[in-house]
Amino acid sequence: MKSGNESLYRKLIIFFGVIAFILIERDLFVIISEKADTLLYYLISNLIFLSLLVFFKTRDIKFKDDITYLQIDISSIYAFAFASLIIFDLPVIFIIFLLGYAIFAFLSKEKFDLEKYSFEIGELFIVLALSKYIYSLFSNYLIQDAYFILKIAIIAIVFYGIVYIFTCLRVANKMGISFRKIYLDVFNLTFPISLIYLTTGMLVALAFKSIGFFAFAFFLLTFIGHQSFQKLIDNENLYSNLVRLIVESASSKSNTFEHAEKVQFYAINLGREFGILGGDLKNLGYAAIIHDIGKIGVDEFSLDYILESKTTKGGELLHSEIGSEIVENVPYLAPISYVVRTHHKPFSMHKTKAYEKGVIPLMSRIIMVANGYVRLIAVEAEEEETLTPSEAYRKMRKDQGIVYDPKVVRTLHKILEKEGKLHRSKSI
Amino acid sequence: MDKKSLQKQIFLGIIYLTAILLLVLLITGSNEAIPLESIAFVIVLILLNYFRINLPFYDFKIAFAIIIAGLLAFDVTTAVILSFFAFFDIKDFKEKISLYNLFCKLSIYLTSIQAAGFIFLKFKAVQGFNINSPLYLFSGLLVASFVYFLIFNVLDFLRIFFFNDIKIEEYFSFDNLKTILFKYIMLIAVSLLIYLTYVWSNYPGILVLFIPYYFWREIYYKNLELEENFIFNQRHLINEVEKRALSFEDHSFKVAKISRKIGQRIDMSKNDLEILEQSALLHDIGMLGDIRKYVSKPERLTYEEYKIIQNHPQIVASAFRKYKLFKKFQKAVLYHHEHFDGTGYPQGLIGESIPLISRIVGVADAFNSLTSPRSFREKKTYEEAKEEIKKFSGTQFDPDIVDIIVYLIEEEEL
Repeated sequence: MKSGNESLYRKLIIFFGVIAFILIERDLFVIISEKADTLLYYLISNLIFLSLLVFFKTRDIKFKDDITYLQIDISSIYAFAFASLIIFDLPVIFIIFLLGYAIFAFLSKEKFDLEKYSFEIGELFIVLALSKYIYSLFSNYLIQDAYFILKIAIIAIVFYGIVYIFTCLRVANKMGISFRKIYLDVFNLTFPISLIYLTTGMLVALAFKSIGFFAFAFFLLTFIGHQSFQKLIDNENLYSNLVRLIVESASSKSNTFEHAEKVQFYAINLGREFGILGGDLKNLGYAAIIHDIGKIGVDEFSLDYILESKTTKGGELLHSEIGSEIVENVPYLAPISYVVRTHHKPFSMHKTKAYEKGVIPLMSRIIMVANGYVRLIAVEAEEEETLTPSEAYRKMRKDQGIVYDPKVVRTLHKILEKEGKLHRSKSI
Repeated sequence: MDKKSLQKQIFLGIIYLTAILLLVLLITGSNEAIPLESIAFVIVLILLNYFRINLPFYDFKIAFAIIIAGLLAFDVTTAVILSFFAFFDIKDFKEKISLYNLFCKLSIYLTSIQAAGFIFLKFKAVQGFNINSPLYLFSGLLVASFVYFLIFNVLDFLRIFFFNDIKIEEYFSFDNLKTILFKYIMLIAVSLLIYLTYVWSNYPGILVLFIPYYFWREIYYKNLELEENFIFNQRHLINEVEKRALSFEDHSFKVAKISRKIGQRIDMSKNDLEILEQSALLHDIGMLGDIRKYVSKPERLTYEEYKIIQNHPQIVASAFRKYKLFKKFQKAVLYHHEHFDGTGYPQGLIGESIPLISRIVGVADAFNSLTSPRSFREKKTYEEAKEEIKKFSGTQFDPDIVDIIVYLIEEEEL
């Protein structure tokens, strides 16, 4: 069901992209005949633009967040797209980008995926055509030269808006999440770099009027900005990779990494349903992957076992307390220490006098449910049988209100239904 | 000392005089009005000074580029005014420089820009040059910025020489000259950028130029923050986990410190030192999993248990392969228990075929283990550990590295 929606959207984009291409290209020969006297120069400009385009396309960033599963492709092509809107005519722009992608596909070591390229080009064509169309509506009113800057500013804003919307649609479609859950995260991630692409493209376009294709040297600025952003992505990934590496190294037969990953998966999905975004969602992901790290301290031969009794003074489960102490001493993870501490707290203690702090954070309640569910459907080495998703859900529903937060359990049901897991007779 | 202070007085005198003279000439000589568009330049100059960026190699003064661009776009008078605004650098006021120093700086700014402006005007007047051609523009820019750059840096060097204590050899090191060349190229590029932006899009374009700079600066500082804090977080996370899983206190942290000291003694590059330190932090994470229950066992290990523990370098190899950014540490972690004579594990590599980082970590690891309490024995003293390691030099350990660590122990640097 999910993949059906995804391919429908993609097919629509390809379809409208082709339509846009056909409609726009009708004017191609008119344009060429107009430019007959400067054709050679025009061709050289196009060629240089084309080669730069291919080069920059090779530097595309495929952003994939290991913690929140956010997946976006960040391409400096948009600087080129924006510049070309002002410098070239639309039929020519389409040809250039088509050729550019073709050359890139030819040079690329990856296997040629027609659907992927058609989708990307189709989306680009639609964005360019829409931007040019809306811009032409405005430019009829702003004919004087003095308004040139204003015209560029307007087309920039329009272009950015359209690109942003299509990016959100693409990401939402690919990740199978609704638009309104993703638009803020996409914005926070892409706004700074998009502005760099936009404004550097703008500078190229402005300079082109006076010095022709030498203006493309301004794309160097785009390059610098893009590389810095790539470095930022790598640096963020360092932290998530480190945590995952440590958790995986510390995993054992009784506390597997697969368990932690599954808990993270359901926790993030539940978190998104509750509208948790940005840094908070990231914290939730970290808390989910690291929630059982305290178990390393519970073995007979460990320091904590020798020093502590089975339950601590706070009435916590030992491994929750140990886990929260570990996390508290790592500055980057310190914000989630309270969540780790309370991830086994039964819901009945939420907001009661029995529990000293009174409140169990939503993130803990989410992890509690995710943890419970994953345990119930996991393949156990011995003893208990595996439960199917619906059996597991029903068992958890029996314990809701006491162990699990009913709201979270209901949300879990929603997620499982969307995944189509509740009506199958066999487990996964 | 006396000779220097005399030279200083002479220098200051000349500087003040030149600046005032040139200023007077300028004011009496020019009767052009200052264009209103130059306000955009002033605004951007102030913004860029406020949102300055401290690059690792040097604090590149973007203000210079704006001054030069102002010279190209307008005239010398405007450029001088821009110099005034560039001179008002809040950082200097915070450092509480003496008044003489302050006036000296101001004079240097004025002298440099007026000299550059003078040369540039002469250049403009040369016959046969088309004012609008890019070639003319570019060569004029080269000349003007060269004069400005040269005069400013020479005078500023003298200023620092007289007001502070610097060694001439240090200042003219090869590295310094490289950064000076880099700054000069940046100066030309950025001036050209600002000037051209002004030509094609007037003052709004200049203001637009600030936007990519601002966002790039944000990204830059975020990067810096993440990079600076990473090793710190890594150390603490591994420390905490090791403490509870293995009852080792600060083991990986200390091994990293020792390894770093060894690496510094063999003049490893800064990059390599970082890789060394991180490899050392990660070297024992293979012991955190199922193996851990054998590691802290107080009784003697059986042969099978011993063999299981020997798995710890390899057991995380697949995990390392998964994480692209950690792949560079994989080799060092995998081979830190190899022996120099080939009797080690997992692969029995010999001598130099063992990566250098692994050899260093191997020695550091052994030393730290010997001098820390373990479940099966008390900790040894530094002397005992030193003798133990010397005993296995050439067999288990690389003799060169043993020499280094022996030296460090004896000089009490550990």
